[in-house]
Amino acid sequence: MIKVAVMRDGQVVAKAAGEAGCIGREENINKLYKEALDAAGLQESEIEKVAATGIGKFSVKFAADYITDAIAEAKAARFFFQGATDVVDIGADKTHVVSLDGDKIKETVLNQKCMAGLGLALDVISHRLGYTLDEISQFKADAAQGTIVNDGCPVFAELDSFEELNQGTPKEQVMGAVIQSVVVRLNSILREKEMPAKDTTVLLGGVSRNKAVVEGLKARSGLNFLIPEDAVYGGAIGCALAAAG
Amino acid sequence: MSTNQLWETKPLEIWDRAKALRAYWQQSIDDSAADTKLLLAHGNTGDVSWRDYFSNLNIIEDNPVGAMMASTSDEFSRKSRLASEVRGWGREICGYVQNCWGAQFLGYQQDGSVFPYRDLSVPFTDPCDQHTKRGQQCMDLSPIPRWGGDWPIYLGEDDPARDKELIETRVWCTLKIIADIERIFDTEFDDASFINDIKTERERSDHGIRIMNLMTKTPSPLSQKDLYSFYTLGGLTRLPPEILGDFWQALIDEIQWRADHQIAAVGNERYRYMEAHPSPWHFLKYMRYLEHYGAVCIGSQYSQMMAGSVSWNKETKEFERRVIRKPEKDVENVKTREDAVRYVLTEARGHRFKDDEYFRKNEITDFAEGFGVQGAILALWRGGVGCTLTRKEQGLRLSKMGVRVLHYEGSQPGDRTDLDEKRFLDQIDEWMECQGLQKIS
Amino acid sequence: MNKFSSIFENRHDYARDWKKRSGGKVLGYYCTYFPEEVAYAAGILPVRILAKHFPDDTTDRLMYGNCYVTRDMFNQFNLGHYDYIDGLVCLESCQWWYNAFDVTMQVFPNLWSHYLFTPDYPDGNRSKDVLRSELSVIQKKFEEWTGKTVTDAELDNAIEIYNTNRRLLRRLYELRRFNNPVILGSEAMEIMLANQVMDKAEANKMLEELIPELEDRAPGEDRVRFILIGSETYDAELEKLIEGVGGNVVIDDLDNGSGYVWNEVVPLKDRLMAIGLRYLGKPHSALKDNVWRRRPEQIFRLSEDFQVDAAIIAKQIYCHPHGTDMYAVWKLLQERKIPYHTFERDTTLPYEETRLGVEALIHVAKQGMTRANGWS
Repeated sequence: MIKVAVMRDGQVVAKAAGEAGCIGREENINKLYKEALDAAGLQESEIEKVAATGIGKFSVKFAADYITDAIAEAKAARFFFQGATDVVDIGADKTHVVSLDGDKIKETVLNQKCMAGLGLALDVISHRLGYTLDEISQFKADAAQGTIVNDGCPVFAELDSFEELNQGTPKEQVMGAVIQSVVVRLNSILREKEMPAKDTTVLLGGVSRNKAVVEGLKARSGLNFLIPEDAVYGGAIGCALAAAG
Repeated sequence: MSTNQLWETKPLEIWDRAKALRAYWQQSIDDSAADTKLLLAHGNTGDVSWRDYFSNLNIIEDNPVGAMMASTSDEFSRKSRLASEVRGWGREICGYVQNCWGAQFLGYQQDGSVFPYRDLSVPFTDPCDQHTKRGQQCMDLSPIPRWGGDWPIYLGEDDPARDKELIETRVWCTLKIIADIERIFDTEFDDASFINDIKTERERSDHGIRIMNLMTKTPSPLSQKDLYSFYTLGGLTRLPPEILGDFWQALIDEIQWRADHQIAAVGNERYRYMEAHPSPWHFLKYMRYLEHYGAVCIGSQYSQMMAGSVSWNKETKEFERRVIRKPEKDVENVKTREDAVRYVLTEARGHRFKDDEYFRKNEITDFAEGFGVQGAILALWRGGVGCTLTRKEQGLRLSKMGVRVLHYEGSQPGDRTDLDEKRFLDQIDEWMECQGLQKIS
Repeated sequence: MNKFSSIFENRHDYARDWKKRSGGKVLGYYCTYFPEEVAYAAGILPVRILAKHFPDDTTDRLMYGNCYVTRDMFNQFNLGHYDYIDGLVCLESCQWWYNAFDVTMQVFPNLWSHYLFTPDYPDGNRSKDVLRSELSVIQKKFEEWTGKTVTDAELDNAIEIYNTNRRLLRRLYELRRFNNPVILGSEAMEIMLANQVMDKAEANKMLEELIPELEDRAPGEDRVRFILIGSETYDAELEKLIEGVGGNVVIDDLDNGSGYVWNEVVPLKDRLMAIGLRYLGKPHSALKDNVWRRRPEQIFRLSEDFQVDAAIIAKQIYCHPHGTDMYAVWKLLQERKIPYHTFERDTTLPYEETRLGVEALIHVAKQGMTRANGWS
């Protein structure tokens, strides 16, 4: 997903989000950029600076600056909650934990080079099982009812899901098990170095919108995530703040 | 000097000699298929240099061959690994071995020349399971003799009585290998040279300690990237002593001069980092990339392995040789083959760079303290065992002492398949910028 | 049979109950090269740490690259499943086991622990001497731990109980030689696994009751006969899957299977030497098959003796002992024209994928390539 945030005087004036796409990525970037400008009522010439962050940042050819993800996330966390000490950004293709020490970044943890625990894993498997992301967001904590699928590898998780379905396990339970497996993997990432602080950890990223995952992760980790309304745009907002200096 | 440059730099003068030695080693491999010498498959250096003392033996080690293949031809390496994989070798296991023995299955080397099939195999039974199994593919292809020597370890306090039995086993294994090679291949081990060279071996590791200590200086006169080239010469590749000759002395002299005159390996050195165990040989340019941030890699327990087992003296602020037990006889009194084997095998344990994985948890933190590092890059190699064992724990220990740790993942140093170079460089950028560093060149 | 299954399923309860009854200590071990007799003689119950799939968010912090088995072993300690374990012993064996042992000790430093060197070159002339020395060391350590001396009589008793156990379990294997075996591979494996977590004296009593019952059972169905080769196992799910599609594992080349029982301790005056010789002389594991190989011939001999139609090779992902030994195994099976299927497994058995592979292999085995049809 591409997210665009337009900011003026430290405030968000417009946002836009859309699919990055495997082909036509630059066109999608340009399209969303224009959409955000239109929403802000601005012309391109009025923009002081464009900066990009995230995995696909270098696809934004017209960016004047490229901001490291951790810095953008840290900026966003403090923007949303001044007292934030940690930020967790869970997206389609990345889970990132950033710990702050005052204004400095103390430590970062990135997901292993694997889809396990990422939004992409949820997206792919839910799609295969015939659910939308909005639908699975409504799943309750006990949806799995004891069904377990592999939490180390989404490929194996998918195979396990098929096996469960073949053996007559209700689809909802299987999906519940997949959500659980994602939660387990996310918790593993959180615990990798120093567990984020219980009450001052900000949650950003697209997966923050998935209630089932968020509630599951809160229960498993014991963290009371601070989730801003614009959590999905956290990276973009933080990037703009960093670019503004 | 540019305004970003903090220290004077100068290319190493010894490069030409090093390159000549490297070429000599490569030629010996290229010639080995054609010459009449027996070919020994050898994982790493052990306690005895087989080629030096069996005149009809040449050695080709799979580690450097595998690493070289990875760094020079991605296409051939992949082809070799596939050849290995389709014959059953675990696809996630050790890229070095897959590269080297995959070429065996293909029957030819990267340049099209005939693969130098081995005649015997003496792997180094390091505490890495893949070393224990090393050199079996040549034995399994068509039966050749293969030996294994145990490398016993134990945990806890030093126990001389326990050591005695364990050393006996190692001595016996080594003597058996020598006697068997003599018997099976109707050859003779050059005991006189072996006994004579024990002193040289100690000098070489003394040089290694001197280099280690010189590299603790700021600026570092040598970087790990340079050091790797020297570390393989005479270490992994086991060039004959008469070829190495005074190479090491010349290297020491030059590094000493550089240290005395504050000649830096990296002219804008302002950040020092260490590593652990092998780097991705096909992508060592990441070290050059880090130099844009003024970051210099001063080495790892792996690259500094040429120094042997060392410990950090917090008082003298120097690395010094670590000796738990002295040999039973002084080197002057080593007269027989068995004396010599016992002399080199004085300790039942002490894996040098692997000590911290087993019984010296402080080893890596001492290393960090000694070199004054601010950061550490600890690779996580999925396909490596010894490469990866305890890396996470070491990261936590280093973090606790205030060293910023970067973990990145790949398959194994000899296999570039899973190393996402772009992701790695992105991680490097983030690691540097999160510490307040920007590129300065 | 059900009793063994129940003990296997409820192994933690069994061990806790044993502790209450006996007042003894429970020692966890990873590798079947561990000479259990010495621990048993010291009044300690050796139990093999068994992996099982539990959601894992505890191990990434300290582990990387490990096979799932060793991750799960550590995870189970973190989850408290092994809270009754008093000590752990690790051998010179698989390094991932070493890693599981090491990180467990870091997190649970109050556990008693010991590292026992077992030669990677078991057939070497001095291997028996060094192992004997190591056994002498661990015996003293056990004596310090338990506060009582281990006598020769106790060693003799342990040797006899363990030899009896091996003989009884070997009888289960022998029953599977026949056409239409009276015991399925999954049943046999669950019994083996239960035995690896039980007091052998108790297990022997149960086996002595069970074996005559089995011998009186009606012959089983006609099934394609398999040998199971590969990484150690911790459940019988694979065997059950194979049975579900018309096959039967009649023999295995597993360290926790045939390797566990194939040879006995030959009593000697030097008890520790006798015990050491037994462990050095057992069928080579993949990791210990290093100098002149024995493992391929062992696999072939078992295949012949048990009249297998095909081989299933199940390897854990990141299992380097079996990943590095696979070439020799495939070479043997290809040379001797034994059809085989290799697959990898992770925390969970990839059921559908495995089932497809086994079905295909059964089809191949039945297509005129079986021993019954005169395959040469």
